[in-house]
Amino acid sequence: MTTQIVKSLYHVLDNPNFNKDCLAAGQIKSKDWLVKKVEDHCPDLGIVFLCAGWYATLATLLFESKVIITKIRSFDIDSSCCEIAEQFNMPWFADEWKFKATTFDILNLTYPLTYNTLNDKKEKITLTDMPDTIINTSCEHIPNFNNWYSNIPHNKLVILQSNNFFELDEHVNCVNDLDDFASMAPLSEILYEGELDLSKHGGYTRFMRIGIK
Amino acid sequence: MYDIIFVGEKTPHYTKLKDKFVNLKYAPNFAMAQSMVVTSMFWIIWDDLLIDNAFDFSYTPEKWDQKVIHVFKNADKYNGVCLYPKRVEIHPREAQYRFFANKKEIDILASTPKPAYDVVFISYKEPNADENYARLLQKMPWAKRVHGITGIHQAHIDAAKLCQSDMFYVVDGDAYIDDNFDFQMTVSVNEQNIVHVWRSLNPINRLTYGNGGVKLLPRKLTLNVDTASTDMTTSISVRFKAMPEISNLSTFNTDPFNTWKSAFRECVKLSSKIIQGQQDKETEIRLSQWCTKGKDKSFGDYCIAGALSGKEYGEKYKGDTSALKKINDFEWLEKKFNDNTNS
Repeated sequence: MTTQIVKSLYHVLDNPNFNKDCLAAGQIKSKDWLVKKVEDHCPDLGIVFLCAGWYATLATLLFESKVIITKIRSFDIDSSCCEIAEQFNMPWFADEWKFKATTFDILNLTYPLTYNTLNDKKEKITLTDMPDTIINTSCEHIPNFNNWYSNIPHNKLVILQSNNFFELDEHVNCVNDLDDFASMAPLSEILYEGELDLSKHGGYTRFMRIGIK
Repeated sequence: MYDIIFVGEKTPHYTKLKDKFVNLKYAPNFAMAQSMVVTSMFWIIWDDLLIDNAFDFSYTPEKWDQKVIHVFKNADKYNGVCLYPKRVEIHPREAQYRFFANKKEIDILASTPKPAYDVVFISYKEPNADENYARLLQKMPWAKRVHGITGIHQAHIDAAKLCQSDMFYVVDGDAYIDDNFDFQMTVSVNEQNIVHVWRSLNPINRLTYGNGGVKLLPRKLTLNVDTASTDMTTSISVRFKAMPEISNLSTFNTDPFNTWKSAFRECVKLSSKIIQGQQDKETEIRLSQWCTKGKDKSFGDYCIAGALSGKEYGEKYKGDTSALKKINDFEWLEKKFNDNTNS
């Protein structure tokens, strides 16, 4: 079966804002790793907040996996991401907004969240959602991570990734190892934690923690 | 502080408010309320309002406003808690409809209205039912209760008989209602033959779907439900809508038997595929979770044992209606539990 990511490429390649780095081997491997571990450890995600979701290719892979998903709400502060994210997730976007992307600063998230999003006519629509699962695969990019993390209610499922790629300026919140990551994002119950060697794809290690906050 | 008078029927909400405001008075109607006032103004709390916890009854209007009726916000409308001058003269109908010729609307939320639909709590022998009902009453003081009725179908029929509204909410005895869930949703006339089911969170395996969730049922269709069917909810109507929000935590793991029973019944339904509209992908994942996850949780081993036994039973008797119907017979379930856990 051809993934929707490939089907969508015909459309998104024409978008001048599209950054092909989202399809880099390291990116895809990291997301594929996440999907496999979710299938094994917590295959019912319910309502998902995908924080700093970028083009939401992870959402596409999750929808195409064995995981049960009620709906995914992807938030990114970069306004150029929405159109591309919705293109990558078109079948689920078209299915009564089972997927919806919104330009939103995740440091302002509340639980539940009432927010404005744009429909296909660019009209403002107000939605309210309460997630069961919070995913953030870009923890290394998040300034004030503690504020963001402490805001998540207890007993929610959280899925976090970070890395030790300190060399990039925009990586303001890297971790050295899993212990470092654990002290930054404590969990009451760990369902999975591990690391993925990406030395051949940029020379860094990606870390992941899945569990109940 | 001004006198506060609760007017209407003495609901459990009155008892709760009485605990909070020791001087709360009661009157069956507005005229009697007005006759018992001793302060220069007085508050009326109508029996169809749920008072917001943050509302402060020490509010005092400016002196020049003290001869005007003050009406506070009730959700998004100005028809809730009222503050009256003691000697106000109003027509009985003005009081009845809370629509006053001379009033001041105050932009402070004081209450939310009673929901349009009745709410019924159905319990049987769940050890934590009283506790869960008390929690429900905190949110929904008008909630009714059906308790100890043998047979799940009959319990729902009895619940429907208690209701006046065309649709009614059902809360199971083991449901610990979520803080964010409210019972305010209403449906259009052409949706009034749809069974709506919210998701509940399973504390053992963290599955989140309709099993154990709050239901919104059509009253007439429930009164006429086929009592011979195996899955009560989906036999009320062929139209079914899964609601995305989580309504409650399903606290079924209170003791070995109740935990085993819930897992067994659900896994019989999943594996025999008797639920209309069941999707294979979801069914497989749910069965796998029920049968493998949560051993470390409270009574988790009984949950897994019940799930495995239920899966086996459902696969063996798939299509055999009389064998599948036994999962609604609690005496048979108890025997099955003893056989399964003693072997």
